[in-house]
Amino acid sequence: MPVAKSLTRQQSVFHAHRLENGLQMIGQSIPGVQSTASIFWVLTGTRDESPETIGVSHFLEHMAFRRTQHRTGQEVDRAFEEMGAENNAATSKEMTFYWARVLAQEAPNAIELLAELTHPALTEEDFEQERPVILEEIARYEDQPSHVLTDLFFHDYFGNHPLAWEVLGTKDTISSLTIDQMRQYWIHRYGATNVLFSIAGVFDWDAVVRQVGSLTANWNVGNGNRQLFPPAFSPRMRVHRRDKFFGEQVAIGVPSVSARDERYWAAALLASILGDDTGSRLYWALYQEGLAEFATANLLSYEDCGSLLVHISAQPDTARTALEVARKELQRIQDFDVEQEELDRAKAKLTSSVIIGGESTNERVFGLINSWLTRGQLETLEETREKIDAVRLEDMRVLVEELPVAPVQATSAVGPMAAEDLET
Amino acid sequence: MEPSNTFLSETLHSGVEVVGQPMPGVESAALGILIGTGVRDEGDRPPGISRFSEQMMFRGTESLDARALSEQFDMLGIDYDSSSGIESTLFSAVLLGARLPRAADLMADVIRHPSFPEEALENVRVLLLQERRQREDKPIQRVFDFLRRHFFENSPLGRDVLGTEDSLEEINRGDLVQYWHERYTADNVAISVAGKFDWLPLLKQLDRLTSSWNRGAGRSGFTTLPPIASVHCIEKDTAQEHLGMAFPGVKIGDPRYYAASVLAQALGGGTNSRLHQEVREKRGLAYSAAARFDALQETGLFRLYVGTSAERAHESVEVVMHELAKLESAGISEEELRLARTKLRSALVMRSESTYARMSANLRSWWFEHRLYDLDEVKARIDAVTVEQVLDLAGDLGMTNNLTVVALGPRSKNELFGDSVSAPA
Repeated sequence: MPVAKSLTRQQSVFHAHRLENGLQMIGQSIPGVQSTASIFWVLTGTRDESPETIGVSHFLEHMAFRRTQHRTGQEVDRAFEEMGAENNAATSKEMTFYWARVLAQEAPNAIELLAELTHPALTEEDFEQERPVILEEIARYEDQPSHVLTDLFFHDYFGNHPLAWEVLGTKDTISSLTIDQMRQYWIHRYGATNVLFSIAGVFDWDAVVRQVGSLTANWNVGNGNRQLFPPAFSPRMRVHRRDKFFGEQVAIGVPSVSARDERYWAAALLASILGDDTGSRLYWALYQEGLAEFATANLLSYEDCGSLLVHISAQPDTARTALEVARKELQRIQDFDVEQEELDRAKAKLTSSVIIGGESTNERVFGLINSWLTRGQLETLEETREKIDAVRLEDMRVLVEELPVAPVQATSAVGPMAAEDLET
Repeated sequence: MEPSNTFLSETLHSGVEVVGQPMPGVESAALGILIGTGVRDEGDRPPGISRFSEQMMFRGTESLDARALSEQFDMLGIDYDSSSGIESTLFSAVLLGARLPRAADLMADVIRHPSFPEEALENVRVLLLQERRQREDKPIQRVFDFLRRHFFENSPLGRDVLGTEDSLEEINRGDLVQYWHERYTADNVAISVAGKFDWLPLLKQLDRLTSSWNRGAGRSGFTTLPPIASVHCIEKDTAQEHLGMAFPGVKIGDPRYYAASVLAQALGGGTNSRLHQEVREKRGLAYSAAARFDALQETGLFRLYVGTSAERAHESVEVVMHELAKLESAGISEEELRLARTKLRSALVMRSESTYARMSANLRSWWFEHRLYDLDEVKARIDAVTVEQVLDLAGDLGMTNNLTVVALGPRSKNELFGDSVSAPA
């Protein structure tokens, strides 16, 4: 039985609008779905903090669920439950978002509540109630070696640059943070010009524009400028010994493209060839050989800089060999022995995940933000596919000439091994 | 537009059962192949053989070596995976619907004609041993491993999917081939597809691909033993005290299944749940405090997790015990019932937008209940749950009397529990 012909989820309509207060709105109507995902995306994160307030962005995000201008924390939780929402909020080095996915008829309620979350009450009492929860969250990650590695790697790699700081903050910064510091931070960072609203699924765009316009009418316009300065790359090997861990975690990082760079897709495809989780070079050389139980490469792209990060997790008896082999693989990429077939496979994987991901309202709502922030426009899945398909081997060869992946690298390791046992 | 409620099903000549659900408007298709074998079916074979075999399947077939296989999958842009669990093993793929026939060919090759090459066997052995050792660094996962082991103490359901160091060392090619031959049989498999596909050509293709598939002993029956309440403490130098608890649930197909889902939702299903509110929001004792319910073929279990500071771990235990006792004696309110129903209904509809989620839901219900449910029927079942049913269920399960507790962290058993948990020594 053939599937009935109808509009597919890929055939969708884009919307964009800028409110008078400077808040930007983008949207994509998707036929054939029942859910609507929406987000308030605030262009602020750890890199916008100061050394004394590291972790304030993330702590602030938690405060939204303690009390808004109109609701207690429990009322917020209950309201989401009433809508049957999937919802969450998250903070990273460059952004903080408040997200919900609901059945379409609940979308106006979700939008109203999300808008409220960006304006928490920030009372001292709530602040003190939440502080221990943040400290527990920090402790939770201390028990996870891969998170410990990531935090250490960022410190080693970015040095004095704010991108080095932990999103959660440290026990010290969280213990000494004050509500006044948080309020100041909120005033500086949560103005309307620094916020992007995105929606994907089933909705009436004009009604959404009217609703968000009225919800945000009295918001401060604010000044969203982020201080940008390039990090200095300090290629060294640093081994952090932690006897309480059984396995050794190793990260190798080299500079790569920013999220806005024209070479972004070439870099993403290169990362895939080197180390995605099936069929990549690291997969064959490390995972399939039993040298590491985990070996991947990922592109970390920020507004003004980026890094290609190789992450290896191995037992002490194979870690040294695993690191050697990973370095050899990076050198092979630098010597550029990449073949057309490898590029074709990487493209097939990436384009297919773009198209299939596009069927989900969640993936689309984040995809819209990404394309708006990095390329200043909304791209159809087909346009994205074309950009990926347009990458040639030659583009990748030039890329590694301009941004070498070997032999100069920054390496961080954490685990039971001493530097001399890991160093090659 | 409602997701299609058209269900298709067919038994192939080999006896293999296939179910399908077309989804208008999508470009993707999800394919799942369930083999009715898991750690509980290992019997006298070396522990861990189920997982070991599954891991070997992608390491080469009679006509393609591991690398060629991987390259062919990648060229199709497939997101593919395999996993072996307690009572089933699943091979799955999500890809553009137009490429489904090629994916079906490849998957059939993997499952029907694996070559179990010797050199790959040594690599898989090393990887599985590494994975076992690496668990030492994953306290949350370890708590859940211990919890299942102790909760199902005398049952094969409690066996470790990864086997033991000794069994991983000893498993040889002969063991694997024999296990595959006995367990991967046409009368112990079901196939599910959802999304964009052409049903009749697909059936024809699957019929051809499975035509020579041998039959075996068929699906294995299973009886379970009642769990035994116990308390276990693993002292370890972690930053948090990781607490896990389990108590009995209901099995798949039990009429009280949705009452159990409501109970889990109210207890620890989200930010509005009792655990989240009492442990995290009111007292700041933890970042994570949650509960979930999983049904198996002949039994089910609720599991709770709280990650808390060592200094306040005892208080966390008391709060959780208090909430369990309250739930057991007084059940939930009408308001909690209403919210849980809303949440479960909405989650159901939203999940149904994904081809993978439809495929796997259909596969499970076909395999375990031999029927498929459309969304309206599931919604009606959720709506039929009453507070009385939830209270009765909580009483029947004997939540506090049948509690298995595992703690991993710096605190001793006495420091943690004192007399909050009374269990047979």
